Amino acid sequence: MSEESLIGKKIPRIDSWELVTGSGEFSGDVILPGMLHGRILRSPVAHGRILHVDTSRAEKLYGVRAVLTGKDVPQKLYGAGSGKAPIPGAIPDEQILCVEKVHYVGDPIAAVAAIDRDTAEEALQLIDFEVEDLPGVFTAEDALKPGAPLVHEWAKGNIYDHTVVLKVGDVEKGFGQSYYIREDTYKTHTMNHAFLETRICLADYDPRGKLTIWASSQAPFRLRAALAQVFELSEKDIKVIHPFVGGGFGGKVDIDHIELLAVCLSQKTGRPVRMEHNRSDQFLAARHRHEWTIRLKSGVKKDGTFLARSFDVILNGGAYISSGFKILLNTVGFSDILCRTPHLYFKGKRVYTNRPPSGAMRSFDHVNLRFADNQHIDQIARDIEIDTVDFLLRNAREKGDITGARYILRSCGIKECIEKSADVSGWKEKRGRLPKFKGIGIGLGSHTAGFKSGESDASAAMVRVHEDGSITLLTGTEDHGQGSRTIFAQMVAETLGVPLEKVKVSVLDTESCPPCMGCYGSRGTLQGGRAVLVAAEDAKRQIFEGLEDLWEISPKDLQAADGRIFVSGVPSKSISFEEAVKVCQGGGKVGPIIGKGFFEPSSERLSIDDGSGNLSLAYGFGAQIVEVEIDPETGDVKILNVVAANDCGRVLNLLSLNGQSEGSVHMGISHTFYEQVHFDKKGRTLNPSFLNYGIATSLDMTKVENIWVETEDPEGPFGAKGIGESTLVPTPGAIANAICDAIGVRIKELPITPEKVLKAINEKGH
Amino acid sequence: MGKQEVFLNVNGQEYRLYVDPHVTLLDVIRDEIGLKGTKRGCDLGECGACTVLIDGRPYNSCLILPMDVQGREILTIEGLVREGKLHPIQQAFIEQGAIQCGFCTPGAVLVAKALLDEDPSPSEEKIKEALSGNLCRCTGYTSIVRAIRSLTG
Amino acid sequence: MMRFEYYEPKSIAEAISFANHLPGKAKWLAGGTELLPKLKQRALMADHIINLKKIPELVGISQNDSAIRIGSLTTLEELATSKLVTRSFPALSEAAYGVATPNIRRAATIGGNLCQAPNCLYFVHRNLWRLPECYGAGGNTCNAIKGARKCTAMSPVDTGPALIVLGAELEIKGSEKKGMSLESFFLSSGVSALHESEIITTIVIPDSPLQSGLAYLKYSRRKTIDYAIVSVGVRLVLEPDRDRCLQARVALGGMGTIPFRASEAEEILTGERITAVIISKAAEVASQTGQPWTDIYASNYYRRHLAGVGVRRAVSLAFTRARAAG
Repeated sequence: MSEESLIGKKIPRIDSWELVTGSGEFSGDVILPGMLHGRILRSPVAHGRILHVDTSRAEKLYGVRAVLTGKDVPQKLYGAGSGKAPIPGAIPDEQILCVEKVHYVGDPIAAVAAIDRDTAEEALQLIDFEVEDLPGVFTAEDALKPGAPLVHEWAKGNIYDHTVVLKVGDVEKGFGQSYYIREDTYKTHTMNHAFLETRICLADYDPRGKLTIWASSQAPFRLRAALAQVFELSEKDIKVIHPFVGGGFGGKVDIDHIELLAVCLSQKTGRPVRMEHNRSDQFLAARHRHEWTIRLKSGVKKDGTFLARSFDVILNGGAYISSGFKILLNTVGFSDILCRTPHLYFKGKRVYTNRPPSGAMRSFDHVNLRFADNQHIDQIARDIEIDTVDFLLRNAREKGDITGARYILRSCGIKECIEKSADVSGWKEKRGRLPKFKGIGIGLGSHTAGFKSGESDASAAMVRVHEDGSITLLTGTEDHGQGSRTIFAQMVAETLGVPLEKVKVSVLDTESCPPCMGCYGSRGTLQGGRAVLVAAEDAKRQIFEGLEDLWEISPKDLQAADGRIFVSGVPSKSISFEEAVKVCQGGGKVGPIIGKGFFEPSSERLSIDDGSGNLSLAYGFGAQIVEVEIDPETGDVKILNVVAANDCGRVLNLLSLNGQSEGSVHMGISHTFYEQVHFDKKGRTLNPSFLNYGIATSLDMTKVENIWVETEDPEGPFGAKGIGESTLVPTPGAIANAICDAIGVRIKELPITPEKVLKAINEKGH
Repeated sequence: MGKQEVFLNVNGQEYRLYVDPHVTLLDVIRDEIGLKGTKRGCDLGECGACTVLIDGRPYNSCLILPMDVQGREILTIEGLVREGKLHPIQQAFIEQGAIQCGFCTPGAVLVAKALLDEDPSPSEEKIKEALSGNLCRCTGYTSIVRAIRSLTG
Repeated sequence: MMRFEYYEPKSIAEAISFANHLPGKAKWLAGGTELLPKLKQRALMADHIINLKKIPELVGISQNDSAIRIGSLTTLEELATSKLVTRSFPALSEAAYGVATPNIRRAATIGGNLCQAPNCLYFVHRNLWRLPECYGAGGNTCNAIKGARKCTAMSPVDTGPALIVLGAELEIKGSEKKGMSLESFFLSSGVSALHESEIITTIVIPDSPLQSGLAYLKYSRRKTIDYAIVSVGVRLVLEPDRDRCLQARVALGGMGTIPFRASEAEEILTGERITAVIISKAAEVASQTGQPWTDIYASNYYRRHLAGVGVRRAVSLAFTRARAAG
């Protein structure tokens, strides 16, 4: 590779100018003449029968242009799987507006379009309605009790479909042979994505049946397919435009009722309609992270090697399925992705309750599983008096392993991550030697770098080389802040041997760009990147072929680097990239140079029965070591240092990678100490605001030492894997282990509040 | 009571506007004046995404009524670029990777400007405190603090 | 936000005149950091807003020979950074500094801070659930606690404990009332002795005796943004050159519907030589006062515990400062 290689360097994002000047357009910045503003009336009751809805007073308010109730919108049910990429288990179970029943506090009952937001909000206050309160269930425990009120008549026992079970080997035999067995139960509470830009869209329906919609979404093509299905339009008549998106973290993957209602209102009024979640809507009625109960049982040999492991998980997923079943299936594979497990048993249920629906959130809740498992493992190591780092190294997966759920680890740097983080953090010198109330702990994590949800996990791209030698990349893989635009531009520039400034990434819209499933499951770098590489290589091939006559040289003897095309081994025989393009396109030799790329990974759908199947081509890994100091009088925990070692396959952009790691660690700190969506006994979300739902602030900022382990995954573009989620997964477990190291007691529930720490200290009798 | 006449000075330009009293400065900047860089993150003064500078000091514009800031100098993110060149703070944010989704960026940049105009060499602690009302979900604040520090004397 | 009519009086007299002409329908606009969000959430209602910020007599911090006078529209940022205040009453500047965030402090006023409505989630979000007006909203029920006969929400006035131990007095205009002590100003969470057409004009803080030490501590979930779970203000006046306490004031916030003085704890300290033992005893007693409630932030037990820890630490700090003073 040339000296000018972009790979591995600190490359500022190519869309920085727009974002730092405020000129970048987000969905809420788009204006269309005559546009209206929508607001939604939401159920104040968790489980209820709608007795009547009277919109007459609202309709009379000056400035109101339309008021819709359940009977005015398509009755077709929708869900996270609507459209053509069915997510396992994501049956359509949501109504655009509730007609007979509501299923959670926040369920939409009516929608208004008015000339401005304030008028629309006022109109909501004028809608008279009555909902009969029915008995509801709010905890998984209550929902699973025999005779509990059903959230949906068709979901017997309030369980989605069936309990997922995976059996590998014979756990009972394994436990029987174990030197030591340990059982633990852990709990994590509901959390919220809390991205800074709420979900928002602008829908413009044209009476010919054509629809244009700007949406803050992580999956524009899935949105298009879902809209087509619900409104019985053809996809060619729908254009989804993806402007800048202010964060996603999995919360903008599903189609949202605001998108559906914006279309309904636009159809009704003949005007464009902007619809957004305000911040309390975003906390109340958009997706959440599931609430988990995790039971673990492990049996080990005397030297600490795992023999048998049993996982039993219950997900409280709220009123609708969203991608909750997919999360459960994925968790099967997560269970033994870090440690070799000869005998494995996994059992899990996704439970319905009358809470707001839970869906995907950064790491698909793998972070919750590992909060439990990292602590469980740390305790086993302590119980049998083996150092946790040694224990982990003894059990850690290696390249070439195939897990119980048949995940194939073509690259796996977890051991190197453990060793390097232990080395840099001074683990050996500190563990067991720190003063009272100071502690050090380790946590491991992993995640997919791709996600075969339905039949396809494909991505496509086009590289258009302009007449002046500049390049535009059109990719269906979206960027919601994680930096994929820049990574892809780097790949194109690297392949074509041109400076990065020559490459522009076009705004994503579903009409101009080739399709992609969306950006979630950290699939962007690998799937999106591979498609981009294919497209770039194709463009390069076309240019090389165009030069064949010029030099009478076969394309295979040509190279592109440093802004020039030259004959391999004969740098003097070269031509500038711009000249080469002119040669190719002049005289109609090649015509417009448009490289196209498509990539469908050879991964597998997960089995609905037991969650098995290699759903991703590659997996990221990470280890974090955290040091803490506890105030024994208040239970306050101070983070002193974090060392994060991550296997990213290959460093493509060091600035981006460090940013992902730092962002993940701080989200992890936030999850650990502050985040919980609180519900009262009637299912009301008590803290739907940034004031009362705590996310970490700048005063929580802690030093993160980043170590990048390069395992050069054979499937990854340049060997790289996505790590936007695997960098989060270790954090809460590592912190919790450090706290245990400091006070000798475990907190087995997230969030870890000072009150819980103090209670633990007092119970221990410090 | 109908709309009231309000004179606002935004990024050095005078605007004469007619606004309803209940419309906040955030809405006026975005919808009446048409500057979209100031963002609505929560509309309740809890996140800092709507930060603007008024006479050089940062405020949550979602909690300000336009009548209250007549005659004051209002600076939004759009006011930083001069003759096509980025302000050094903007340049530092880019170079240090302090921008991910970009939604909190305008607010954070303005807070940084106000801080450095008042104290060209703030400690890391002081930088973090200045940013303590600007929520960011993407960066973990590390690169933002680093960007500001890169400019200190 | 709901529509309202807007008035910009130029004097206190004009402001009061507006209020008198709009009984029951007008609210004062000070910094706007509480009123505007709560109007948007429909937690507070107002058809008319009277902006006090253009009245010159309401701002400014000045000193005469016996007290510091703080205009009620002085911002929390000004209080936190004013040399007069940081020099003479560090606990007050610390308390002001601990509120919310920098942007909020720049706009929020001390007068407004005293008049805040409680951060009771049922009060703030009642419109989401179409709940009836609660006691805090002028109604006759409590949506948070079934069967409660009155509002039991914790006071949100985090500056309260600091002002109370300083013996703050309020000057009020708008009726025959001329002034009152801060302690008698607070009636219940969000409810004060102020009538709707009365304005606090000035907060007067008499000078503290020479050998006195002040301390203020705030315990909250995060280090910024959040209200206090518990806050503590302490002032100790010592005998010159001795460790004997002449006067002790200990005030607690977050332990009841109003910030209050823990008089039993004060009695333990007064007249005594201050030792670690005495401090612990006072702290223990303080932790048993008040009526802290349980909410999403903390249980009442933990609040009591924090009050004990806070009083112990604050008294120790005030003692150290008192010894260094004079």
